[in-house]
Amino acid sequence: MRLCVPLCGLLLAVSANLHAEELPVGFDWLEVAAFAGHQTDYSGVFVYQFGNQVETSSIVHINDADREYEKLESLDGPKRELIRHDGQVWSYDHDKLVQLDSRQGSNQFPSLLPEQLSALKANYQAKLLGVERVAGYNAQVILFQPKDNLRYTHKLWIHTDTGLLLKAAVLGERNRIVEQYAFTQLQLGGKVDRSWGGTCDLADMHGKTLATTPEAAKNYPSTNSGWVADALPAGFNKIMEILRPMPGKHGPVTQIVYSDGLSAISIFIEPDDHDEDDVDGLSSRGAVNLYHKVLDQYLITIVGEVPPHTVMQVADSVRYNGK
Amino acid sequence: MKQEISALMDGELFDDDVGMVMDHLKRDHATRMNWATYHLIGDVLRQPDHIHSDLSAKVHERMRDEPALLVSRGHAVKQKMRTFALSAVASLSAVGVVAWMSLQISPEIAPQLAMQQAAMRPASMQIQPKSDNYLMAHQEFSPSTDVNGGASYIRTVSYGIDDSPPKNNQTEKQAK
Amino acid sequence: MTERDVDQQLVERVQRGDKHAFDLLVSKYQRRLGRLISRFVRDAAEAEDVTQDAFIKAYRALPGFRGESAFYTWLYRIGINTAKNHLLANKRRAPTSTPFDAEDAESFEEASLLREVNTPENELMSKQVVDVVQASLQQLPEDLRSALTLREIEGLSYEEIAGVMNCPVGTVRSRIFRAREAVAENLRPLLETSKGKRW
Repeated sequence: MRLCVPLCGLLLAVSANLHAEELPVGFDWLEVAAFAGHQTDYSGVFVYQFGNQVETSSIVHINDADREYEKLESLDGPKRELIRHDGQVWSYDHDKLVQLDSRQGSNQFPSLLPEQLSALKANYQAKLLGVERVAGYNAQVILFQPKDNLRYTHKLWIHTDTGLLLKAAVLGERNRIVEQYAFTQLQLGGKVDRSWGGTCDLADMHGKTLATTPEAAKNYPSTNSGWVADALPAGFNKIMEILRPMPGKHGPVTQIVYSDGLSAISIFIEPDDHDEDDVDGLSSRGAVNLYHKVLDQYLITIVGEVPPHTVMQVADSVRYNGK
Repeated sequence: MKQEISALMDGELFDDDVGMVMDHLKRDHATRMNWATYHLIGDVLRQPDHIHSDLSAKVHERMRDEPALLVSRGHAVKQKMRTFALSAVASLSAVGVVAWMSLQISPEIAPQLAMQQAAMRPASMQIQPKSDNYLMAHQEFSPSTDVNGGASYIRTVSYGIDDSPPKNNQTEKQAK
Repeated sequence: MTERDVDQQLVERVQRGDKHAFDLLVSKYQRRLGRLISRFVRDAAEAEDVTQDAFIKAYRALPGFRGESAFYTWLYRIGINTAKNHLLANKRRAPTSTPFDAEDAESFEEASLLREVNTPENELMSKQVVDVVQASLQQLPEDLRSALTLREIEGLSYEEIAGVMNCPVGTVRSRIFRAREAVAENLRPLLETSKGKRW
């Protein structure tokens, strides 16, 4: 917990305004949480709930010398494990680790880009709702309420000492819960239980035994495919457009990512392979909505943690504007 | 039940019975046929020159390709209470955790949580596991990954679909 | 609970994933919507396709329906747009040059400007259905026939009918039901013979 010292200073500055009702300072907490999420050592158990599903998982996150190791493990249902290390993701598949994805760059200290911050301020109202206890820790509660109905409300419980996110709820219309997750048990800093495999084991895995699949090759090339979406909600700025491999796909897939600072919308474009299973239309998991449609021999897939009608609106506006 | 259908279509059924009658309509094909026939009779009486062949079977056929909708709404609280009571046994294991969670939720939300839980149930067209790759690819660039950390990846490994098929599939089968 | 409330409840059920609730709205509104659309699209077979399209479009748009207007005016608006788009796509001119939107839909309902063109087979079937309903109505006892007519043609509420017929509301409820059921009894054999293109 060497990072605790500088962070506490930052948090003190933020905490001075705790009792005010509505302050732009709420947005600072997002940066604090993003920073803490990477820098804090923690282990714990959290529950994830959406619809009628409740799932329990354990998570361990360790940052040694600016290298991050993280393991997510399901505690109920079929056994699933996900390992993240410096932006790369592996999962256990029949006792074998398979690399799933690789985040472009190491992205050590992600913070909101200036244009994302202005998009956030333009499209959400941040409210500090006081301090509540989560998993035995004090948490600042912050509500991010959208100014239109094209995005969800986000309610965050952020640990007042470390800045770690302890609980998060995504709320839809009339403050109904779309999904939420919360730590029920959490150990911070030096108390982290490393017995699950240990930092060294993970580092080894990274260097040698982890199978790297072609899909996970680093640094996907940027592209300009000519595909556009006309009806993105205000504030969704284009973060990137890449040509990437995808497991189970023959050719590369174009992915365009837009974000308003709190949520993202991805548009995937690939030649339509006439797979009957790619059902046209809308499906959901928690706050994530997915919409498939076929347009001029292309399969268009929209994914985003935004309401269903927003995903559909974006899908309806996708068109090819290239040469 | 036929008399209730007749009153329902005229908007003259007692409020307390509406949910029950609509549930029956949902389950029972013959009852839906009565609804259709009674409406046909009304249309013949009003516009005998404009009766054409029935389109509902064709529309129903085309609807097979459409996903079930999932829109949460604020009204119809009574309805949701009833659904919750019926489904309480099925989700017994979930209720404990949810009850616990509702204590953690702010007061304006807490009373609705249990109902919300139930209201979401029938509406699910869940993301198919084969689409997980899209979720994974999306998740890595989403700001929620920065703020929420690895926990947000839970969305990509959630197993809900394997365990409980969407309810609307079951009713589809029953109807056949 | 009014008829509009019943529609609203059905809509909410569809919005929560119940597709059968949409079937109920289709069987209720298909002829009214079909009649509206055939004002724009003269060819009967085409009008039928456009009516189907309009229902599918309505289903897809249903997540955005918030109940500010009645379901049927909303549905009519979609029907009109679908018909107009169909005409545009066919590079034909819409038969009306005056703007026509959902507000006119109701008055159009009464206007009865339209003559449907049916294929001979369908026309025969339609005629049989109409004949059976009208003949059955004539065979009904006077109190049943009056109750059903006041409801379906005059659009009176049960309470208003009770006032007109000088009987309790419960009796009105029972008479209307018995009238419908008696007509339906005669209609069912005919509808069953045309299975596959159900009526």
